[in-house]
Amino acid sequence: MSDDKEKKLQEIREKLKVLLVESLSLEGVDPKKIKDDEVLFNEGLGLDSLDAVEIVVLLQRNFGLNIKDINEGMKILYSLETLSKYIQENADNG
Amino acid sequence: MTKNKEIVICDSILGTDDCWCVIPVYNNCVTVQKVAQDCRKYLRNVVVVDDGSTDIDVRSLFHDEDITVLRHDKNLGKGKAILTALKYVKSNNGRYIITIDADGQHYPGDIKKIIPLLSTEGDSVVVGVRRFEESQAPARSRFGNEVANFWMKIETGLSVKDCQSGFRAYPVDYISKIAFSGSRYEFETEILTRSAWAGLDIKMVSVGVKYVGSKERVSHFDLRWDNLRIGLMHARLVGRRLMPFPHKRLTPIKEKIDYAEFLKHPIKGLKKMLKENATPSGLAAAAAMGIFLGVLPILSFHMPVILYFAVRLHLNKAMALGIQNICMPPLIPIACIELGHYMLYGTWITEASLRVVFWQLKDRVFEWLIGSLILAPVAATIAAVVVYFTARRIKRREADNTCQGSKEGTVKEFPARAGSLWKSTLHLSVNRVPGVRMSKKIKTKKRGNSLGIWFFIAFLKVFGLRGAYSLLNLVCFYYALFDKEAISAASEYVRRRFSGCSTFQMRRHIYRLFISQGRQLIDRYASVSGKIKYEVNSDVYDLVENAVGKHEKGAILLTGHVGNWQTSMSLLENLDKKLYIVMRPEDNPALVDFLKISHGSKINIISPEQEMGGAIEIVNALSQGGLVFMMGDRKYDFNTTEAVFLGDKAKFPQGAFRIAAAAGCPIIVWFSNKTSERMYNVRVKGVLNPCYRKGKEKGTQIKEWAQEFASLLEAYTKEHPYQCFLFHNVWGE
Repeated sequence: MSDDKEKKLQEIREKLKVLLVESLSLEGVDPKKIKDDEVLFNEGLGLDSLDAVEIVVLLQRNFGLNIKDINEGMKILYSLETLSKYIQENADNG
Repeated sequence: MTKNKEIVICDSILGTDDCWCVIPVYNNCVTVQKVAQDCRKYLRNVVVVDDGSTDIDVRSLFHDEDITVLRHDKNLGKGKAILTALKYVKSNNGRYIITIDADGQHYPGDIKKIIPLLSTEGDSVVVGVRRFEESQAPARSRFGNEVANFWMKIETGLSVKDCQSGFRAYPVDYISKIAFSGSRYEFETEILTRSAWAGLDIKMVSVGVKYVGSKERVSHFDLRWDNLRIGLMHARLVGRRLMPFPHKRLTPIKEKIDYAEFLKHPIKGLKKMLKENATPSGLAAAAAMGIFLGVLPILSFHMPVILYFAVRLHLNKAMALGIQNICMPPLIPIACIELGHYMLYGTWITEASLRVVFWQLKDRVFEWLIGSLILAPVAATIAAVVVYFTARRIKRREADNTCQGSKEGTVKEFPARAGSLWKSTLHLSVNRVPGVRMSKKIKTKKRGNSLGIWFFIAFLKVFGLRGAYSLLNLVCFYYALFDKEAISAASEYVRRRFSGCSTFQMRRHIYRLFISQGRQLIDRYASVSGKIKYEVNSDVYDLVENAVGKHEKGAILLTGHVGNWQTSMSLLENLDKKLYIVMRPEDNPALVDFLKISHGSKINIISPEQEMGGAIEIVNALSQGGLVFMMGDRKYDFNTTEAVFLGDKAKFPQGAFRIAAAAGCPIIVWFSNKTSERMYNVRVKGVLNPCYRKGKEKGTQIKEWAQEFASLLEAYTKEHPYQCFLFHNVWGE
């Protein structure tokens, strides 16, 4: 089971990398070269607050998930890893 | 200390029969009985003077009480009522009368504070200084009081804090020997001044005051006629003061003035001279007087005349004598002559020959006189304004440096909730710190302290909208000339909007811009406090309803720092949508107050200071169908993009456009403008539907949307150049 979970998580990571690069128009960034635990804001991918808007919308449209408040958002959007796990947990709960 | 069961007597060597309480009354039936009964607890002798009341037979209120009632058959005025009581008390060997108003604003218990200050020599006048900060006293009363205090200082050199208080004590013998001309409210002004001239000892004591509801408290003060009477009385008293005849003293001089002190200790004398009546208003009065007399053609006698006036009116001699040097020949005399010649003949003198200057000397002197009568008051007013605001600024800086937490630095709360809005509304924000991500501190420079703001509110309440507007002329004139920061903040916009204008023209545009903004600030206060009703012509409601009706998602309402956009927000409250505004509460305390006061909690504030710049909140608001107000010309925490605005590349925030594109909602661009004294327009100027198109770089698309907004804003500035309040540099780094 844990192998299945890990496999699903990896699929989510890969899908997210592609979605992020496309939606946020990250030019010159190869999705395959993004680390699994890449930090999203300030360092790492260097996204800004408006990119957060696009990620929130991306979550709604592609995964049917809503981020309700800022504190929750800060934790979820910290890195690709935290985002992926959030999607997986909520997809599992759903 | 004598004491009996009925009366509580304070510590005093005066006998219980020496002090009489006097209550003049005119149509105050609701309160006078209780006031008199409460006074009777403290003094055995209470006299009520019925000044021709028609609401009730005052005697009937007291027929069971040990209170004397005197009556005038017709209304003669408060002054006459007090004099009637004075005569009666004198015939009954009373030594002091303590007057108290019948409207219930005073606390009779404060009689205990007054009595110990009454001297046994019978030469004390005691004024109960009301603690206005404890009450809901109307601004009109406080303003009138400040004016009266100012004139008292001019006429007597004494700083009496509450010249209009009706709670006072007078010595019967001495007051009976003074002749008064006033009979109504102006009497209370006159009696203090003439008492001071007669050598009586004016003392003050702090007393409480309550301003009860309008049903209980009745005031018969006629704003027009009583203010006119008081004004004329002051004119008469100042005129008497200027006469070179000494006042008749009733008491011996206690402290002789050593006129040779200045010669014996010149430095000490000079310091004293510099400090006398050196408040901002005192210095302004001295400057006005110095300039007024300096402009007049009194040929070589300016200094002695100004010195005489300064001494007689207790004005700061250093300021009066120093400032008149501005009027030294030849500039001012020539200006007066030219002005006088123009007034008489409609032409200017362009020839400077022997014939014109000397042979026609008689004509030139007459023209000089005519011109000076016009120029003198104008120049005096300008001098007073400049000196007042400069002195106040210096005083405030000194107070900030040396007295932290002192009472001087405490901003007083005004009675109305809208007063707190006004306190913080009179700002011109100066953004000195370039935008940085996530935490940006913007220094907000406040212009106008409590007294200045209080003046505006008082003018609005007493003289209406136009009265308050008229005060702006002088204030904005000062800022447009001397306030470097304000000028710098406005310059970037003005320079581009009116390109090619000279420095003088630019200052004129800046002045007009400040006037326009000042008026809209006054409008905002007047609207929130309910004083003035404004009409708003708008298509926003319908257009927003049409635009968002098509979308389940909300919309961004994008505007700029133009017009009176804050008051326009109320238009949308009737829409069945939640309203949000993106702003930093700490940068806009005025707006926060305004939203709380005028909109309760209907409009939710989203701060871009929070993590992610509030983006998540904004998206959630839009996805739930909310309307989000944003400023299209304010950076917040968002990155910017370039757009051409007024001929130069300017930076506009990307936020609204990227959020709208991500959330798939429209941007409704709307602007507000003032069209007449009590009317505003609020119009939608465009609806953008940002949507990323494939094949085109995102940054380029964002730039195009920002350019659309910038073009709409530019069109607005062309139509309403003095209603664009862009006081931050959108073109800078």
